[in-house]
Amino acid sequence: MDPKNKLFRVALIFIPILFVIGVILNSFMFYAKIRFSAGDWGSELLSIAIIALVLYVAFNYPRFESISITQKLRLSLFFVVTIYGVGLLMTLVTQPVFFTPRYSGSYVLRAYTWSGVIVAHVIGFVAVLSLGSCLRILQTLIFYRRKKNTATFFHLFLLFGALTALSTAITGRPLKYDPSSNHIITFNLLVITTIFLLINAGRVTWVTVLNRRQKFLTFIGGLVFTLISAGLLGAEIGGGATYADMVYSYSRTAGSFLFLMTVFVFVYSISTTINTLLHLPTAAIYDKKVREINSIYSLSRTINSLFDVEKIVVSVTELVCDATGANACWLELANTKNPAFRTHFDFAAVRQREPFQVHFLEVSFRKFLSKHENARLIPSNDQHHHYYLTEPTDWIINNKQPILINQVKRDKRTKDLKRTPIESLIGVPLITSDGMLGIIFAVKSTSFGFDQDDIAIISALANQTTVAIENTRLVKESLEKERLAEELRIAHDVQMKLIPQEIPDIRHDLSKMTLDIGATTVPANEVGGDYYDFVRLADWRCGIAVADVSGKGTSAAFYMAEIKGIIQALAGIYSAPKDLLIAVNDVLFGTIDRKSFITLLYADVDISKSELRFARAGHCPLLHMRDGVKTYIQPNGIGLGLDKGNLFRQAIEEKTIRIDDRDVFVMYSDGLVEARNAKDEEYGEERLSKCLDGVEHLPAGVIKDKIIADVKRFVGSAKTHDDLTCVVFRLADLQKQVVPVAPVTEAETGEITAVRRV
Amino acid sequence: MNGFEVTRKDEQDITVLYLKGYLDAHTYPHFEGELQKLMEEKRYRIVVDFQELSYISSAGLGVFMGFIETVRENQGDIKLCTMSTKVYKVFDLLGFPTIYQILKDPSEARDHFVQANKQ
Repeated sequence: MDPKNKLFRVALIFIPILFVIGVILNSFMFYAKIRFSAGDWGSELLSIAIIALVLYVAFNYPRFESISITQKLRLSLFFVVTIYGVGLLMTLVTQPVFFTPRYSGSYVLRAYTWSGVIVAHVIGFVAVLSLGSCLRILQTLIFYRRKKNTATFFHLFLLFGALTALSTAITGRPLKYDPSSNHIITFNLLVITTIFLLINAGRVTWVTVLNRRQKFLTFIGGLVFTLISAGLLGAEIGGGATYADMVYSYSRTAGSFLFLMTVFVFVYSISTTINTLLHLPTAAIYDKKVREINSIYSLSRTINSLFDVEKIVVSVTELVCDATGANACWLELANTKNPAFRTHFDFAAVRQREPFQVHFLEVSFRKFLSKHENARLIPSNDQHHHYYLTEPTDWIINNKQPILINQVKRDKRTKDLKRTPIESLIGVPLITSDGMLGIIFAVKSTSFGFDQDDIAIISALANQTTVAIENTRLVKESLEKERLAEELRIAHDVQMKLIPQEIPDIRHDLSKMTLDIGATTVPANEVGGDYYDFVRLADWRCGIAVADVSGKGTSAAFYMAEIKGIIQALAGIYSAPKDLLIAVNDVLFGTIDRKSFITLLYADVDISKSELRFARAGHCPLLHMRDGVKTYIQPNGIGLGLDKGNLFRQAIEEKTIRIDDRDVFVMYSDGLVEARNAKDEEYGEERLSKCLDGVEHLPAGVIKDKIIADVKRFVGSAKTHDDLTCVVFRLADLQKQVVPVAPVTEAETGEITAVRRV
Repeated sequence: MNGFEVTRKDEQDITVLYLKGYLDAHTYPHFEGELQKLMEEKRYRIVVDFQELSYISSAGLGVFMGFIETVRENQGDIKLCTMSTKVYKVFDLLGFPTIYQILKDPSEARDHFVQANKQ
């Protein structure tokens, strides 16, 4: 109750006070043997006030609203029994005597003894208290499924009930279903009240939500309720008076209230009893449906919040046990690596209810049970389990349908389960769009323990589980993909840093010559295996390397980083390119995967000597152009990392060329000459040569751009499948040196172009 | 996707693998598996026939390197034969002729194995 509500407290205090005043007033009137209408009316007004206050309190008492339906039913039965019990007890103890006074027109009984006055008062008071509370409880039940008119009809019932009671107070005749004893107005009001009473008594929809046991108890309780309210209406309990008669002698309004309320309670309990009786046969099925809905609901709630396969399977087995009443349930998940084989189902989760014990489950799940809190999927290599359930499982795998065996001991498919306590078995597959995820098994220790409904509910749970597990896997996959993409991006950034950002300034002041270089690499993917590098050996001497790591992707990128390190470290030590490459191979062979190798072309340009020395380790030849004549120079040599050392040493050949500013050199990777267009034609050396016609006088950077542009034009819309690298270099006069106007930046084309900083 | 096929022919202790189609980053695992099978069967005298192979990439070349050591440790060899000019060029560029015997046809390769046996 709301302590802040003053009116409520005042009403609570005033109810007993008014009652006591009423007792005193009536006792006085009884002993004084006086009969004056003011006293009579005073008593009447007192009882009206008590009824009003009781109703006010009852309708504002929040507990009546919040308790459960069964509690409400029990409470109202208690109230009615209280009236009956109190009345019976009082009459037995005090033996009240009532008589019909002449002046009352033989309508109303009067107490002949003082005990009669008290009995009438107490019963009246208890009745008003109890029935007022009852009315409130019934109201909450009637409002259980409140519709538009529910409240209207209830309030109309109250209104006409009050009017009827008042009219009896005024006419002085007790309320009865008897037109001859009632005033015509009273009777008409009573008829209307009765109509609304019947309408309200029909509202017993709350019966449906009770479970079977509750329905049964409500039916029994309803019978008791009906009998007692019938007793309140009709039974003479002492001195030839019924309950109503006694209360009428106390107050006509209270008597009418008691009468109407008892009728209402009587009709309502009949209505309830009949309804529950009608619902009883279907109650079990209804209960089951409710369980099903609840378990599916709680499953979807659980698994939508979980992205953890193990937790999902644990809650599924629990729910299957709850929903079907199975003694044990377990879920097996197909091994994702070997989904086709029976032996590769993983035990995912199990529920066994005491005292149900299945030997092979115990054996199979021992590990699982011991680690239950952090359940893990246990690989099913357990022979016991395999042996026992081979045939049902094969059947499910072949038919992709649930299996229901209600007489395990008699079914051929489950002959291996003879020594187990299992009598009924259900197996439901978890079917996905592209196969079977696993199987849910549920077993019972009674034959005919499952029916088609159980298959339906386990199937529903299975569907939810399938979706949840697939979602979980997809989420994991996409997270993984995201992570990989991020790592590739980082690898790309790192790799881009490994490629020279600047072209070294190599010059020889004496001969007024400089080394003019243009270089670009275009990776086909995020990370590539192509690589070029410059090693500044002296002011006038530079090493230039172009390499291609076999294969693509991350491993190629690693080897590329490695080769850069090796070359940068060793280039200063070995002056001859041949010796350098032999040394590089020696270092690399120990660390590189047998299937991988690196091809490399290394040139050592010395401006002071006007000399180019180079060696080739399986790489594309060096293209030399002079006076329009193009030569592909391919000295012997095998790829790095292919041979331990001897063969490599024997095979490698070094070449030396005298150079001047008429020479143009092109180093490239196979991605350039093997670039393919949509017609699957190769770019090839011929096109490369043709592209270089008449470029002798151009700066290296421009020649390089021309080559790349030509290759790109050739490839067109076709997908590039290999990295593409091109390094062009030549000698140039220091004074005439031309700097490329606008170097192409990486952001625009994905190319990595080294730029000569001036 | 360009297809790739390996046909295997066993002649006494020599196995001839006939390659067909494209041997590249997508198809090399197939070829690798075939060689792996030979290793498991302890057949180390292998002839690879390239007659119908139209393309080989660096990933395809790597496969040979993955097995040559094991094969030679077991007194066997991988001999290559019947290469088109284009395929030969790829092998040559990489310096494979220094490492592998590249022969005219499978029968010549067989003869080489027989001679090696006599020695």
